Amino acid sequence: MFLKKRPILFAVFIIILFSWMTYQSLHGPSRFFNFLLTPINLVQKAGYNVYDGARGIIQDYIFLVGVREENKKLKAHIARLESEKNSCIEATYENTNLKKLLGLKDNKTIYVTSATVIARDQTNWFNSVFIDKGSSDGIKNDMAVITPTGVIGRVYKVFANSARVILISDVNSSIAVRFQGSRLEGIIQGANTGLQLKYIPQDTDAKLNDILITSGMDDIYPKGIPVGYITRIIKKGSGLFQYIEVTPFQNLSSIEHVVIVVPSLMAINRGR
Amino acid sequence: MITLWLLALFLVIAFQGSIRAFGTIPDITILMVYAYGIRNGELPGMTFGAAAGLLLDISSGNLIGPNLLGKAIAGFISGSLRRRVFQWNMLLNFILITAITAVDSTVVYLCLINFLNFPASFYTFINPIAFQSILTGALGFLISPLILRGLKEGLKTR
Repeated sequence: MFLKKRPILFAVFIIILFSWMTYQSLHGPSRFFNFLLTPINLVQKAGYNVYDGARGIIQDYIFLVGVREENKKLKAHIARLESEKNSCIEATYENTNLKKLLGLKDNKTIYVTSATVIARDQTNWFNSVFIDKGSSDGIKNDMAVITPTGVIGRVYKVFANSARVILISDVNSSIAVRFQGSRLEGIIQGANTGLQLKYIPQDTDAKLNDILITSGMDDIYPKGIPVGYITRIIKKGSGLFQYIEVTPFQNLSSIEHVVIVVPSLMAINRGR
Repeated sequence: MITLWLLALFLVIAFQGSIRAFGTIPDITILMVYAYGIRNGELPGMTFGAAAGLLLDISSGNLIGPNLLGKAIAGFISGSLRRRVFQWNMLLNFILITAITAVDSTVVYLCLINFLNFPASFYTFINPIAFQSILTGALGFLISPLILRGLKEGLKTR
């Protein structure tokens, strides 16, 4: 008798769950279980720290092979960067003077806070990380999250003491970008495993290793932050646009500390 | 005993996101659901799967339900296998876990596009789903002792 009841119970369970999900899709995700998020985050943070520590040991001691060679290369790289830095300083002075002459406003990024990554998404469906700062630290939805290397994503959901950051590689993510050289604009969309640059016409001269920076047109990411570089271009015969793959400057699987910024004071007030 | 299983589940969920192989997160949670279902039958398997899915849904900070449903179905199927598998071996274990992971992922994907307007096409996710299923299936050998014990107990109750 009980054996026959099992499929019925199973069916009832599915019907209840479907009704609940329908309700959530209409009225927003349930907050009923949010009280469990803090202990889960704490355990995740501990887990992440253990993993990070173990990875650090492996990287520090096992991958020491080849460090000398890498050191030589880096020294040569530093020398080249030093020379480039000097040219940049010159260009900045020149730029400041020209802006003054043109009477343009200085486009400054506003710093909100810095945070540490405490956990990663547990599934393959979303590319997101959790940070240890939340609404109590002034974080609001749609604030940009960056590292010194480049953009990593935007704040997607804010809790009292933590926030979920959706990474630029997530399918729900898109950024307005511009080629650093040609100044041509496009949109980078997440493609789960990487990034895709969209709406670049077939006749546009995009090259491998071209650098893309934020254009500021989306009003989420401040202007001029490095995003990534082009690693693959496919020009299809009949399509309007090129298929372009982009690799982010920041390795999205090894993010530790991040900075939350907004493009303007208006954006701080606009955040939810 | 159930406390130990729940504690292990909590730890697995804490660590799972940090473990990546070839860019994919192996679904260790489903290994636990599968093992629990085989050891305890349909309804306990479904309940344990639902608990695992609920924790995953809460930790994602999103819609509560997709993982809950997927893992509950996986637990129910695993529980029903307890009375149906006659000759268990490693290959069968691999095939069953791969299939159950694929079912779970498909259920989650369908829930996300229906209830969360998930913007990605199935094509975007077919490769990760397939790869994750095979990877999880391959990791199935880790739980072989648990499965063997569960099947022996299942034979007694048949």
